[in-house]
Amino acid sequence: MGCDISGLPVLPELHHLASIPPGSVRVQRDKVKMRSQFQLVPLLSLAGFALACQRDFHLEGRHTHRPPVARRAAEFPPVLTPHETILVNSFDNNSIDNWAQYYGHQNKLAGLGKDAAIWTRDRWAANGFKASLSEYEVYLSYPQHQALSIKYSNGTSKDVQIQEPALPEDDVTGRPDRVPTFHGYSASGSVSAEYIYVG
Amino acid sequence: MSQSIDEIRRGTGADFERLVQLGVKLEGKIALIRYGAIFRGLKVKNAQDHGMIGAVIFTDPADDGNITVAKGVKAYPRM
Repeated sequence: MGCDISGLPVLPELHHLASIPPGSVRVQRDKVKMRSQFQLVPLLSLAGFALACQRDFHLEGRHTHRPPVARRAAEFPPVLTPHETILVNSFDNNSIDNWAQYYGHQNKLAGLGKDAAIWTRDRWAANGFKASLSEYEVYLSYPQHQALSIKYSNGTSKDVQIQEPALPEDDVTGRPDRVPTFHGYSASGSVSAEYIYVG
Repeated sequence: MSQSIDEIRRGTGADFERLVQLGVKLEGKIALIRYGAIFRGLKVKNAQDHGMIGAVIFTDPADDGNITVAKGVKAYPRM
């Protein structure tokens, strides 16, 4: 039997949680391999790498001093400065599509994906920038195994799906080296206990 | 500082303190926590600081807001 949270009001959006019968969950914590290593990383990091991180869900509006787009676009079409003209003419939807396609198919977990770093450096170099890769030491953990199962009070148990199904329309979703969910730096091991909803 | 209902109940320090005040025994248990509001690492740390032995962080479908199939939005990859 799960903990008694009867004193807590249940939010409407949490109703689906009520469908979880009382019981306990077993968490196979990530078996992680801690590594202290040298790794090549791109000197010029791109948004594609930033996307490698799971984004946290922030509800607050972003603080900015920039005026809204509607107020900035005083005239249309906008008159571009010479630098803006170079920027706009340097790539198009096609190249953006190709780059997105490339980065979307790379392993971008921190510390991995050296090929993409080299490719990125070469793109910068091809466009006249002096670009290079730099090396520094990082401390990372990588997932090796994870599993989650729930054990009901009647003794039965069920594995909980923790990976999204692969989509035939999106080949990235079915890659054998796709990165599963894991808690970075968490200890390795398996724990089994009652669960408590903290909210 | 006031918090909206969506900014709490997501494994914040206040959420844990509330459970403690309600007399819920946290030691040795596994925390189920919604993503959001605070950095996910702090959710795990909060659980650890209260003697819990594991944490499961999940994305609540409620966070989809109005971007749902029920509201007429087609599911990926046909968005």
